[in-house]
Amino acid sequence: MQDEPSATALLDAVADTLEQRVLPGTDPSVQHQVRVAANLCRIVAREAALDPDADARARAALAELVGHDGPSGALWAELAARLTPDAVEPPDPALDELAAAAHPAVLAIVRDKLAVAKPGYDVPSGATP
Amino acid sequence: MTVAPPDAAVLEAGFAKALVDAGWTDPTVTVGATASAGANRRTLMIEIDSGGTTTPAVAQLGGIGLNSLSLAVEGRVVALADAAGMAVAAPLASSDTDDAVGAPFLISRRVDGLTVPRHVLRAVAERPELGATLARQCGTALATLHAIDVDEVPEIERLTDPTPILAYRRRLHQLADMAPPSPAIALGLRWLAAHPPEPAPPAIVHGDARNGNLIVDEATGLAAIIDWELAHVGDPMEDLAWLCLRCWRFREDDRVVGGFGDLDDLRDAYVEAGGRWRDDAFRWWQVARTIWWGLALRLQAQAFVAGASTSLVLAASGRRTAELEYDLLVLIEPT
Repeated sequence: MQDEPSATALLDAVADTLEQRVLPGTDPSVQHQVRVAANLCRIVAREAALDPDADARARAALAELVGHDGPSGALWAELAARLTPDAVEPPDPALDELAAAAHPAVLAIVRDKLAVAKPGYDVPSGATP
Repeated sequence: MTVAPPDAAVLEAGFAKALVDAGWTDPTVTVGATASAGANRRTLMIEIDSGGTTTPAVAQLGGIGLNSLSLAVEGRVVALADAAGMAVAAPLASSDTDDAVGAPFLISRRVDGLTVPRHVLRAVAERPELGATLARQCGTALATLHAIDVDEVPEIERLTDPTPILAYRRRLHQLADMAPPSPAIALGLRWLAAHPPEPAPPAIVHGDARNGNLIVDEATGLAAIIDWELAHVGDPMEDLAWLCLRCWRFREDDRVVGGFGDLDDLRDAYVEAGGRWRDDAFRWWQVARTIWWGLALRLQAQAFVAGASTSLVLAASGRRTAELEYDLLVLIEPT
């Protein structure tokens, strides 16, 4: 429990200060780092607001895929380990069904990550990878 | 952690000696500003006076990174590309030892032009025909590189055993074993295993030809392709796919080639200059290099997490991984 301003408002204020006050007077060799710092403040502000819901969604989707519950990070790693093929042998066809089910679920989780890290990156704009 | 700048007098003497060894007459070297200082390398502006003329040049100093070439070997590969007629910054002298100036170095002719991607894209926005010209010139340049006999460069890595496709898959699996896990990457690796393209004869691959490693003249277009430290022998379509990845379009997503050009211009020029365009290999390498960059970002972030680096830029890589995961999942989306 803290008084106002909120953590989000403080991080946005730090980002504004870095971009508008610090950046113009900064040595060119450090400007990129200042921009990165400001951008990270905005990312963390969005993360604080969005991640609790996103984490719950990821956990539910991943739990269904791997067949048991757990922390979302552990389920994410377990799914990756199961789906990673051998470096030489062809992928195990017994896992095709899991891979097919995982694709849309993982894409939804990645979209939630982008909403924090790079909003708009997944908006169709004629963009083809 | 950057390469420390050695004393200017030591550099000037060491560079001059290397230039004499390369056939220059009584060269005098003047070291100017540091153009960039990265994790492994430092780039200095220098002037070479010899026989009454001044030659602007750049000197790169430093060691080698993961899977990258030494500066002297890099110089030999660029010299081959130069001799074949490709637009490059011609190498003038090099050293593979620390003896002369305290670090290995490569001196190259200075090529003027834009290199920062947003500057290149701003020039293209002002003069749209520049974008098509650039895309065509990239196609011609890469076809010229890929036509070089691979036996002419014995020292660079051959990612060809038993085929470039299988060798690169093995490389990706090695990186994936070191990086924090991702089901998106795992799905990408499954796709690669299931969709091998028809093989083609191996060629010299630049490895990092993309917007950011192009020197662009606003009037005439492509002046040089630089930064050859990832050059290797492999599948030529790797270069064309990497040039066209979304992460090098800098939000100009509808212009597939580096954010400045159309795929047709790149492909037509590549084929006209003797290159063999393979659609299935183009797609395979788009997926493979998207996985590679996604893994590289994960490893950068891991270096920060493990305490091996305090770089904020590396830390921020941990919030860029989703972009590559997204691009990858769209590339392999079942149709």
